[in-house]
Amino acid sequence: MAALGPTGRNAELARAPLSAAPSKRPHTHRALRTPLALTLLLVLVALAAPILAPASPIAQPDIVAQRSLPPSFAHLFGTDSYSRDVYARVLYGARVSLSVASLSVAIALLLGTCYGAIAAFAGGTVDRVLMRTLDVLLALPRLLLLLALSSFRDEVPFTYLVILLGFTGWYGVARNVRSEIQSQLTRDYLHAARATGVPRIRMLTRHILPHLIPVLAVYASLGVAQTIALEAGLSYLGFGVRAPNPSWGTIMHDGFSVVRDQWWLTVFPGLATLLAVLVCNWLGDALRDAFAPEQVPA
Amino acid sequence: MVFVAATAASVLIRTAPGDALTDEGTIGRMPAAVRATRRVQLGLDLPPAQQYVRRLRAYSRGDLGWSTSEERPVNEVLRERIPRTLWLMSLALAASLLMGIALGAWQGAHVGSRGDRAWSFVSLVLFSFPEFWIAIVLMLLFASWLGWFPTMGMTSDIAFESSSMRALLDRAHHLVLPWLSLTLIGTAYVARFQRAAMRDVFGAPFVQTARGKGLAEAAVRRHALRAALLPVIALGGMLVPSLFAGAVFVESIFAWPGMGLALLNATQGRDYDLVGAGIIVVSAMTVAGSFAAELLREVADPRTRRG
Repeated sequence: MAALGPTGRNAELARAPLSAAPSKRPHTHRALRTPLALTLLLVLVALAAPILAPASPIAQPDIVAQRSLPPSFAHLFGTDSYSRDVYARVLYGARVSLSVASLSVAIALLLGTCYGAIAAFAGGTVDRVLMRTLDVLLALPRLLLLLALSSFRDEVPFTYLVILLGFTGWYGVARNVRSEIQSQLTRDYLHAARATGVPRIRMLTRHILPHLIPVLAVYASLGVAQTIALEAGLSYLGFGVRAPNPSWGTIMHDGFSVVRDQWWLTVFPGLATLLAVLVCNWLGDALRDAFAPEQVPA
Repeated sequence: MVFVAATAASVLIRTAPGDALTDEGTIGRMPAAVRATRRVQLGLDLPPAQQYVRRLRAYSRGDLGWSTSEERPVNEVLRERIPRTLWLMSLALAASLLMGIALGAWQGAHVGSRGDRAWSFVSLVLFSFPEFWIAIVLMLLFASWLGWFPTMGMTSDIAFESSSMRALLDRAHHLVLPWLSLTLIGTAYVARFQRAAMRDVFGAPFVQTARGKGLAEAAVRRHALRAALLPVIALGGMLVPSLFAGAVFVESIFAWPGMGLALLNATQGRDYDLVGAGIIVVSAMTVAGSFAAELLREVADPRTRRG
C-alpha cells in the first residue's frame, strides 16, 4: 500500500507539534492492554470450558421434558431441540471456533510469508509470474470456493476445514510480506549484510524476519477475526464442522429453521462470535497503531 | 485473468468426487435407466479431459452449460438472478461509500475527539459483525418482533395485482433489510479506511502549507479530502468480492432469489455447471471492480494519468 506523505516513527514525531489535533499516541503500548487482556480472557474461557460449563455440551438429559426450553436460571441460554444446554455448547464452541481460526491463520501466515519471500528475493520474471498468479487467485471468490470444496464431502472433518481456510487465506499476507521485504532490501543494513557475504537464507531469518513481525502480528489478529466470522458463516449454512462438539456456527445452524421461535439458539452463539471477532479486530487495530504505522489492509 | 480463473475453477470443481447424478437425493428418485441416459446427455460419461474440452468450447460460444438444480440452461438462470443481486450490491456499495466517506472524513479531521472515539468504537463493532448474523438480528428485530418489514422474498403476492407504483414500493419495502445488512458493515469498512487516510493526509506538508498561508479550515479539509479519497477508491474496488460474499448470506436469510441463493442451492445439489459459472461471473465482477477503481483513480489523481 503506497503511503501518502511521510510515514514511520520520524514522520510521526516531526508532524506532532504542527498538526491541529495533537497526536495522542505517546502511550501507544497502553492502548494494547485492554484488547490483549480480553484476548487472553477469551482463550482462558475456551480452555476452562469443562470447569465453567454447567453440563456436557453433548449430553441429552431429557429429550422430552427439557427440549427447546427458553433461557432460565437453570439453563442460562436455554436448551436446543435435543435438550442440550446451549450455554455449555457455546462455551465448548469457543474451543472449536477459536482453534479452527487460529490454526488456519497459522497456515496462511506460513504460506504467505514463504510465497512473499520467494517473490521478493527472486525478483525479475519469477516475481512477475508469482504476482500475476496471486492476482488470479485474488479474483477467485473465496466464499464460493469454500462452499464448493466443502460440499464435496458429506462430513467436513476438522483438519480438512482448517486446511481449506488456510490455503485460501494467505494471498494478502504474501502481498504484504513481499512489499515489506522489498522495502527492507533497499535499506543500508541489508546492503552491509550482503557486502559482508551473509547467505540469503540467513539474511531472511536473522535480518528480515524480525522486521516482518509487526506486520505478521497485525495480520494474525485481523485474520483470526475474519476467519472466526467466516467459519461461523460456513457452519451456519451447513458446510462447516459437523462433530458432536459444536462450533458457534454449528449451534446457529441447529437454530436455522426455528430462528423466530427459538431465537436463543441463534442470538447467544452469535453474540459470542461477535465478541470474539470484535476482540481480535480490536487487538489488530491496537497492534497496528503501536507497531506498524503504515496501513495494513485487512 | 478471468479466463485463467475460470479454468482453475472448473478444473478444481471437476476433481470433485461424484456429480449431480450420484447425489443421494437424486438417486433415490430416478430409475437407473433414466439416470444412464441423463449422464450421456450431460456428457458426464466422457473422460475428464474430453469433458474439459467440451466445456471450454461451450464457454467460447457463450454457453455456460446446463443447471441440474434448476433444470434449465445456466445462462437463463444467470440472466434472471444476476440483476437482482446487482441491485442489492450496487445500492449497498453506493450507500456504504457515501456514508463511510462522510463519516470517516469527519473522524479523520477530528482524530482523538470524543466524537471520533465514539464513532471509531461503533464502526469497529459493526465491522466485526458476521454478515449472516447482522441479517438475522435485523430480521428478528424489525421483521419478526416489530413487524415493520417483510421477513423474506422480493415481492409480496399482492404485488402482481396492484399498480406499478405499489409494486415498486413493495419491492423497496422488501429490499430495506437485506440492503441495510450489507450497508451497515460496508459503511463501517469504508469509514475505518477513510479515517486512517484522512488522518495521514492531515500530516502531509501540503496541508500545513495550506494552513500556514491562512486558508480557512473548511477549505483545508476540502483539499485534504481529495488526497485522502485515493486509497478509499482502491478499497471500493476491493469491496466487490466481500459484498458478494455478504450477499450470499443475506440472500439465504431473507430468501432473496438472487445469485447468491442460486449458487448456494447449486453447491448443495452438486450442480457444477452453475457453480462454475458463478465463480466465473464473480471473478469477472471482481476484476471489473478493480478496473473501475483504477479508472476512477486516474480521474481523481492527476499524477496517475498517462500521457
